[in-house]
Amino acid sequence: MISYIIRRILYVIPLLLAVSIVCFVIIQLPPGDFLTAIESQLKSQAGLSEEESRKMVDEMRKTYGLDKSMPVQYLIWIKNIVTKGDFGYSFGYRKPAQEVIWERLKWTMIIALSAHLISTLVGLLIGIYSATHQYSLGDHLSTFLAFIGLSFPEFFTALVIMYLLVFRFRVPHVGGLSSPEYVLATWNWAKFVDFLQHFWIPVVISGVAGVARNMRVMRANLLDVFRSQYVITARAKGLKERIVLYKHAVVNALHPIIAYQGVALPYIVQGTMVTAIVLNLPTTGPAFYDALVFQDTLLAGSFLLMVTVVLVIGNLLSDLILAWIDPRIRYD
Amino acid sequence: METNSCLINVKGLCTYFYTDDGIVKAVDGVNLKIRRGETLGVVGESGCGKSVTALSIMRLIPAPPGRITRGEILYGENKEKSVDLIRLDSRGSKMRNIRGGEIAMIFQEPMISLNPVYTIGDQIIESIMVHQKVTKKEAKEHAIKMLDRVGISDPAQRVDDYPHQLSGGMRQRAIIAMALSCHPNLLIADEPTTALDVTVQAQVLELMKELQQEFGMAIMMITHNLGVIAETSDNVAVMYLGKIMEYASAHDLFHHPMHPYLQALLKSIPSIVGKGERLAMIKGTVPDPLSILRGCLFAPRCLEIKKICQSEEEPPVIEVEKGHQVKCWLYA
Repeated sequence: MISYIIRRILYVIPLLLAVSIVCFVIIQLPPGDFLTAIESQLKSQAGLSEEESRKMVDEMRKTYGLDKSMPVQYLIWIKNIVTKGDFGYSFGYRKPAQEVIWERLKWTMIIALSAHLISTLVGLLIGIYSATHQYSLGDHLSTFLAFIGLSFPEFFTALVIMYLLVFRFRVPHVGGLSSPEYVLATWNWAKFVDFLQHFWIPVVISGVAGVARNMRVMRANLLDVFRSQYVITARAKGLKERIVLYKHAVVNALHPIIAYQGVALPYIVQGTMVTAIVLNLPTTGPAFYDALVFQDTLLAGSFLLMVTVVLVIGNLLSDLILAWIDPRIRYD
Repeated sequence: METNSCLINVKGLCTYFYTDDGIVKAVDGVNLKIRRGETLGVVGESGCGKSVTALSIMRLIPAPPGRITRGEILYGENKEKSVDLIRLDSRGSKMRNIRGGEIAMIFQEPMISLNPVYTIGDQIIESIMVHQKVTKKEAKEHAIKMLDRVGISDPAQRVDDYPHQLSGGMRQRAIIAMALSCHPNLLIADEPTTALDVTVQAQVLELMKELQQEFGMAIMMITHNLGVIAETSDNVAVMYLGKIMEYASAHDLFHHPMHPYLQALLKSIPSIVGKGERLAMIKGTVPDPLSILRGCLFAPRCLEIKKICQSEEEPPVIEVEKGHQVKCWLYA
C-alpha cells in the first residue's frame, strides 16, 4: 500500500511540469499582451505621441521581462514558483498573483467543498432510496427532479433564485457573500447569520447538478450490484437486509462516485464561473475570467496551474480512497 | 413415506414471474421431499425452474417480479413443529435464522459469489456470528477450522486472503466452508461444479459427499449434468419447463428411464464406447417460457407422441413402481 502511494505521488511531479508548460503556452497564444492595451491608453488618454508611448511601454516590457522569448519567460516564471513561491505580478490587480489567488481561493474552496459535500451525501442517499424502491412513486419523482436538475444551466437557476428572493420574498439584498452594511464589520453573530443567508445560494446552485448526477449514478450502480451473485450470497447467509445493503452492496457501488471526486473539485472551482459572475461572488471564477479578457498573463496562468494542481491532487486522493476500499486495486 | 420423516416437503409449489411481456411460470406445481442425510438431485436444462425452486425454498425470489403463488414448503421433521416457509415473512427474523443457519445455499459461480472487498475470513466469520453466539475470536478459529476441513492448505494464512487471490476451485471450497460453518440441516447446491474444470469438479463433489456424512446433512443438488447426479444423488427429480417429469431413485432413473424426455437426454450423452455414431439429440428447442402451452409440455419435441398428448389435458403423474413417478400419457 505504501509503495503504491509513493509511486502515485512520484507520477504527479512530471505531470505537473508538463501541465505548467501547456498552461503557459496557451495563455501566451493570443496576439499582444497586457501592455498593448496600456500603450493605446497612453496614446488616447494621456495624449502621448506614438513614439513616446511605444518607448515607455518597451521600457515597461523590459522591467517585467515581457521582451524575452517565451521559453525564457516560462523558465523565469516556473523558477520563481518553485524557489520562492512567487507566481509573478498581476497587472490587473497591481499586486503579486498569489495574493489575488489566495484571497479568493479561500472562499472558492469553502463554497465548492460545501456544495460538493452536500451534493455527494444527498445524492448518495436519494440514489440508495431510489434503487431500493425501484419504480415506486418516490423513485419516479426523484428521477424526474434529477432530470430537471441536470438540464437547468446553473447561471439560469441563479437568476431564477435571485428573482424569486427579491421580488417574491422581498429579501433586501442578494448576491455576494454579505449585505453591504456588514462588509467592513468584524465577525459577530449577526454577520454570521447574514453570511449564511447569502452563502446557501451558491452552495445550492452548484450542488443541485451534483446531487442529480450522484443520484443517477448511485441508483444505476446499486441496481447492478443488487443483481450480483455476492449480494444474493449475503442474503442467503441470513443477514439483515440493512447489512446486505450497506455492508455488501453500497460499498461495491461507490467506485464511480469516488472516481468522480477527483474531477469534481476543479469542475466546481471553475465550472461555476458564470454563476459566480451572476451572483457577484469573491471567488476565483470571475477573477480568472477577467484575467483572460485583459491578458493578465501571469495571473491567468497561475489560475490555470492552480486548477490543474487541484485536479491532480483530487485524482490522487480518489485513487487512494479506491485502493483503500477495494483490495483488487491495491495489488495491481 | 410419512410426511414427518421429511426434512423438507415441497407440495404443489408455484412460483411465477410477472413481467411486462407476460407471466412466466418458472415453477408450476412442483412436489419434492428430502429426508435427513439424503441427497436429492434436481436435473434439467437451463430455464427449467431448478434454481427458482431452490430460491423459493430459501425465500430469496426477487419480488417484484417474482412471487410464490401457491403451494407449501414444510420444513422440519416433526409434524407439530414443522413450519411452512411460505407463510414466514421473507425478511423476518424467523426466516433469516433458518436461511444460512439451517438451510444453506451455494451457487454456481464461485468467481462472483464472494464479495470482492472483504477477505474470505471476514465473510465466513460474518456468517458464523449471525447464527451463533460466539466472540469474533472464536468465530475466526472456527472459520480457520472450516477452511482446513474443506482442504484449503495453510488456512491460518488463507483466512486473510481476498477472493481474487484464490483460484476458482479454492473459492468454491471457501464458499462451501462458509455455507457449512453453521452446520445446516440442508445444503442447497445450485450447480456447484459447473464453473470448475473437470478434475476440480470431481474433488469438490468428493468433498461434499465426505462432509455430508460427517455433518449428517441433506443435500439438494441442482445440476444440468446427469453425471453429477449419478455420482451423488439418492433420489432424482427431472424438471422440464417448471414441472417435474420424472421422480425416482437414482438407480431406477438410470436403469429404467420412463419419460421420453429423460430417455432422449440419456441418449444425447456422448459415450466413449461405440464408434463413429452420430450423437442423438432432442429435436426442436425449449419453448419460449412466455408461450402458453396446455397439455403435455414436452409433446412438441416428443418422439413417441400419441393423440392424447396433443390434447389440452395435462398428463397425470403415474407411480409406475414404488417411488418411481412419471408424468406422461404413455403410462396412463
